[in-house]
Amino acid sequence: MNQPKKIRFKYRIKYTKGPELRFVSHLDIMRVFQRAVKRAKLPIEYSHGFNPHQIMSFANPLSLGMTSIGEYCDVEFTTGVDTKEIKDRLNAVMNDGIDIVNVTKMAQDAGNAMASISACEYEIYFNELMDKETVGKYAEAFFNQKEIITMKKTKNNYKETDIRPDIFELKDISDDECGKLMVVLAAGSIRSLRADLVAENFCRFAGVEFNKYKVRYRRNDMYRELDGKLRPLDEEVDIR
Amino acid sequence: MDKVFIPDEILLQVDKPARYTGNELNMVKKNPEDMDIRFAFCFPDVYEVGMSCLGLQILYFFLNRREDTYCERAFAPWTDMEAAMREHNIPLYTLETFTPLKEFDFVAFTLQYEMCYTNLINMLDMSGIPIYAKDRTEDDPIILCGGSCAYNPEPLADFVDFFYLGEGEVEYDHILDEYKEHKKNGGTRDGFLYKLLEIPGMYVPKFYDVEYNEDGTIKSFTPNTEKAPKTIRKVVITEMDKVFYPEKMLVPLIETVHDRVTLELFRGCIRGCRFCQAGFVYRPVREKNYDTLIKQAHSLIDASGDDEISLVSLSTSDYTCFNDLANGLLDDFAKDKVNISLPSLRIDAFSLDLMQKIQEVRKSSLTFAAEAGTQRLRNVINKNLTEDDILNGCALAFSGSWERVKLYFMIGLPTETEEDLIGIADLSAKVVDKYYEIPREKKPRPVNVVASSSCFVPKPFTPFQWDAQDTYQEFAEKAKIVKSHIARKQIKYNYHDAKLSSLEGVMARGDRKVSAAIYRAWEKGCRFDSWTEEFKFKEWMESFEETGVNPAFYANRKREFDEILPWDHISVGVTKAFMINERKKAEMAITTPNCREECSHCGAASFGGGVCFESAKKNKV
Repeated sequence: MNQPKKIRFKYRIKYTKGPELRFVSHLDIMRVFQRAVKRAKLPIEYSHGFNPHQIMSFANPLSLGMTSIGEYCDVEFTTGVDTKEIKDRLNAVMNDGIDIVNVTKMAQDAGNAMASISACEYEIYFNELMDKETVGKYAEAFFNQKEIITMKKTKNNYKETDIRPDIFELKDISDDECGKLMVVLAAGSIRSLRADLVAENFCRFAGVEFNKYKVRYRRNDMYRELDGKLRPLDEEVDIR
Repeated sequence: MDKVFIPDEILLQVDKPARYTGNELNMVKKNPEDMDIRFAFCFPDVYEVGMSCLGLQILYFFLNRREDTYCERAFAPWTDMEAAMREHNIPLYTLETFTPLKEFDFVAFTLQYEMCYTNLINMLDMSGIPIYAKDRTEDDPIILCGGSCAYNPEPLADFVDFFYLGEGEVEYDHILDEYKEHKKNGGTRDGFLYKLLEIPGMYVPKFYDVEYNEDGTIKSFTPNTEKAPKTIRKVVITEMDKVFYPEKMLVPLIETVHDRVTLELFRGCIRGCRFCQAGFVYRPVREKNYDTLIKQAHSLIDASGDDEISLVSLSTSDYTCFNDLANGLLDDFAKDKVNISLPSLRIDAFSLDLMQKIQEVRKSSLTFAAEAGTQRLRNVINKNLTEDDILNGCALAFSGSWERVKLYFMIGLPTETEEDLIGIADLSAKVVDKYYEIPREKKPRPVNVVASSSCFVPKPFTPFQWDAQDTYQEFAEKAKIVKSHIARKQIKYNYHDAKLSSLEGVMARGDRKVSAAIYRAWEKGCRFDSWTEEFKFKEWMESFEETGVNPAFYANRKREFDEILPWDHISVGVTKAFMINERKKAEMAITTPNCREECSHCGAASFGGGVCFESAKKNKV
């Protein structure tokens, strides 16, 4: 006799990480969420092992120092809860610096955020390194290169790699404040590219000395591929 | 008032930058402009240690409940951050508003252990505040210290404007009200310090003069102004159910030493172990009632989302309704996967039932403080615990399917002989034997006994305050003896670094002369002395040499009962006569009953509360 498949109450939470929490690591943000879920008294599901832990998983970790307006966390509850209620209850108890912007119910067979991801969008702020004229002068030419060979860190050492195929999109979004780029980069377990490596290569291309402490980054969103298009992780996740 | 700005370049390069950026859950936010009093609460150690301190959590919310006061926090920056801050000329600042410490009205340090003294000096220096009290001007904050090490304030007396002796909830309002009035009237620092002499529990070192005998002992210790009390008596709360306790605690963003909410069951300890300073300085035992605690536990968990609640007190299981409380909390919290942790459980009160219930939630390791290897020596130190208590407790633990036991011992206790040292090895072996007595099918894994010995440090306000401490060479010899008698492979023996303990011995019973050596050690780069990797023994020894301070005079010298001790002007409520009597009983290995069995008239009843009056209350009913 076949047991009926257990219905799982899975939700995808989209949130922001503000400048107040820029220096809090990914691991610590996970603990912040674990505590927030308990303060909100949401019916979180626990694993059934010897050391029960909350069923909660996160998409791509954000590097220390970066802010974001598009982070994702998947949770599983023991019962169904209205998505607006989840959002409101979490926001009511959440630490300063994190804002829940959207909660979506996930389809039973939807893959988790970490496994689904295929790209991330970032904004790169060059601050005093480059003004809008410099970025405007080089952005298109940089993106139009056939290949961008650079030293990329592998597990144990550095390797010469072409990063151009992993830059899906690149746009000049500079304003009077400073030179800025918007980039969409490969992310996930097979291919991935860090925004700071793009910033470093762009500086080199523009003949500007790169200083990793002067450039700031904001992640705008994370994407998965649906029908050959990149779509935010919470789009249609209630269907598939 | 300029806020401190920390460039990314620094924060991206130091270890754990979130130590330095604040914004934790429940952090108090106020507008500094609207405040009459700015109070910087400083912990002279790294963030993760300081944020685990219950005293900090209590006083932070206690002081911030005042609308006219903003209490903010600062911790000792780790060495990497210190270097970066000094390079960029960034002064030490508070996490709440990034305000330099120098701009505060008060800069307060809590002294939880002696080996933090160089950190205190370093934090003053990093703030641009003159290190010596005599060099401070009207522009500088008032520096004060509290905490358990403040009971022998003398090694820091030259650096600190005043010491608060006792529990913070008693007199802080009084102090701050006086200060506000004083400030409004344009009073001077000195005027305020003089005013403090009217407040119980306040020790202002500058109003006392010390004279020494030729042999270096104290000849006289006298107030130099009429208003200064001869003896400063600590202040304590008597009504524990009425005293302020925070409804929420600061929840750090990074992992700290004790990553959980803490529930304080009572203050003081009924036991009177003769080596234990806390057991005397926090007398008398004062409990909170069951309903108060359950209520506090719920509000703390609700406000933090923590998954562990720690029941803290000096000897948790001595709480009168301990079983009810533990069961009550387990019933309330198990469904929410909140674990209960009991850091100071006495082996003789060991409850298998309770431990198994706790284990259902999550398993932690078992620790028993046997303290000494033989019954004779346990009687000397008044650790009212028999070998049977220990072995039966372990047997219960083993049959409850625990297979890891930690045993804590001390070496270098007064009257100790080789037999007592061998006793540590013997007792550990008996614990292993106990494991093999239980039926084979109930012990799936091999037993694992960890025996640890620390080095005894005689502390002020204990019956051993007159005793000579072993030298570090003697400690090393003794540890070697213990080690050579450990034969079973199931036992792992650890011992602590004796050099650190011998330095602690100097600080603990130091007088005002020791301050010169502390200052010199700081100049030589000593910081974070309690951190093994940072401890610079050689520099400390040079500092003693160069300042003419003989460490052996403080650590390894036996004092006579009639010597004037550096802390004799301070009273914790326990009489010297009682201490002398306890020391004599120790010599004869005679124990003293605990406070609930029988009152031994230590003097703490004079505070008018707590265990000293429990039986009187009962008799009335």
